[in-house]
Amino acid sequence: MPRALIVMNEVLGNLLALTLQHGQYETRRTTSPQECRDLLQEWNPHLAFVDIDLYEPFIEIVGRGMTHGHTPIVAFTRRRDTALKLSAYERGADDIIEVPFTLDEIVARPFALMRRAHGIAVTIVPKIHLDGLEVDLIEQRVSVGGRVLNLTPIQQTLLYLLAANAGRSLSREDLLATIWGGEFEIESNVVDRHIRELRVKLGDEWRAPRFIETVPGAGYRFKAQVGVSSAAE
Amino acid sequence: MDLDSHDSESLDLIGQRIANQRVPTIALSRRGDLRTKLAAFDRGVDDIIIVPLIPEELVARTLALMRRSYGDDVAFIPVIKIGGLEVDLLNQQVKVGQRRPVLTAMEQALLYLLASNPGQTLGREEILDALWGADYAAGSNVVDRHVRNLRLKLNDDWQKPRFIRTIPGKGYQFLATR
Repeated sequence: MPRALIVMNEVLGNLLALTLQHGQYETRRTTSPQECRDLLQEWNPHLAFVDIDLYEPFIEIVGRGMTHGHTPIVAFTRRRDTALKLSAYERGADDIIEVPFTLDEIVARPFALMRRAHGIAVTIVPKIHLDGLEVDLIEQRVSVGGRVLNLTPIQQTLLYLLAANAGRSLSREDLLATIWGGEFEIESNVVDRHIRELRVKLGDEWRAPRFIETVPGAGYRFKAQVGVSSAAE
Repeated sequence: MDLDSHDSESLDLIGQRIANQRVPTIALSRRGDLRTKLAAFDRGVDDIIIVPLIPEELVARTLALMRRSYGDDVAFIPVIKIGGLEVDLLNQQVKVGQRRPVLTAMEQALLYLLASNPGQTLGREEILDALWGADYAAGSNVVDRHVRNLRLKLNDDWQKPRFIRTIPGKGYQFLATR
């Protein structure tokens, strides 16, 4: 089983851990430098995913975390900044994913990196289950009780993000920052609009939702409990 | 390598050795789906860029691949002259007289596309296909909108253009500089 270390905040980290199930990765998340060093030593991950906007020094920690060779790094940024990207590559990032991203990037780029760095062909699992939903990343489809729905890439990301953080309210700001990136100038109701469209497709009624609940004053919450292990125990 | 080209002979070159050396490849595609990407990596491409093709993305990925493949640091020149305009890729600016307006990623991509084909008329469909991909809503006015914004920033009068000329019924043309 490929092992991926995730250095990100919890909301984005959970989205990554869930999406990486399509490659059957085992994941651990940390934002503590010491825990990161320990994990590199003891757990020996194949890859690391680092949010360089928030946890920039981890490029060095991960890059130098091993005596022989370094752990390949996929860096994440919300900034449209060529200098930042060039410097990230120079300091040891192997690939960079820019927010907003589509979920297939989270599967395809690590696939290439595992091949290149370790000679490992990761098995891709197109379909995974999110409680009552079966999602297919290759066909970009969701099945609810036998009904097949086509989702746009953004709806798919939104669904994964909510499901990856099931049971927890995500504010509009959380959703905006994670999916669209902080520096995007967009209409403020973009989140609500996408939630509405997603609910319509899922056949979810906002008064008695099966999947996505509105939490007044707080945001949105995915109801079902999904067994996603993301954080290090 | 344009991955969407139907020239199978050129696609077969991916991952091949030429003069005993493997040639690192960056694939370009208009289809950003997972299947296309996995198949490309499986074929042996080193990186993949999906349209819209943003100049800074191409530059950063190319530099990274050169470093990875050959270990050299390739010179990066942030400011280049295109069509008589000074363009700064690092700061996303273009010098117009005393002003330095900031270009959006798509405006920059459009400017590079037009300026790299000076004197040639590019149809809306052609521009749409090169920058946004063919799947983009046909009949949308996205090209005209971006040309208008770019002209405003370049201070280009559409009636007496210095840079971008409208060719009625055909498209747009970047004026060749003397």
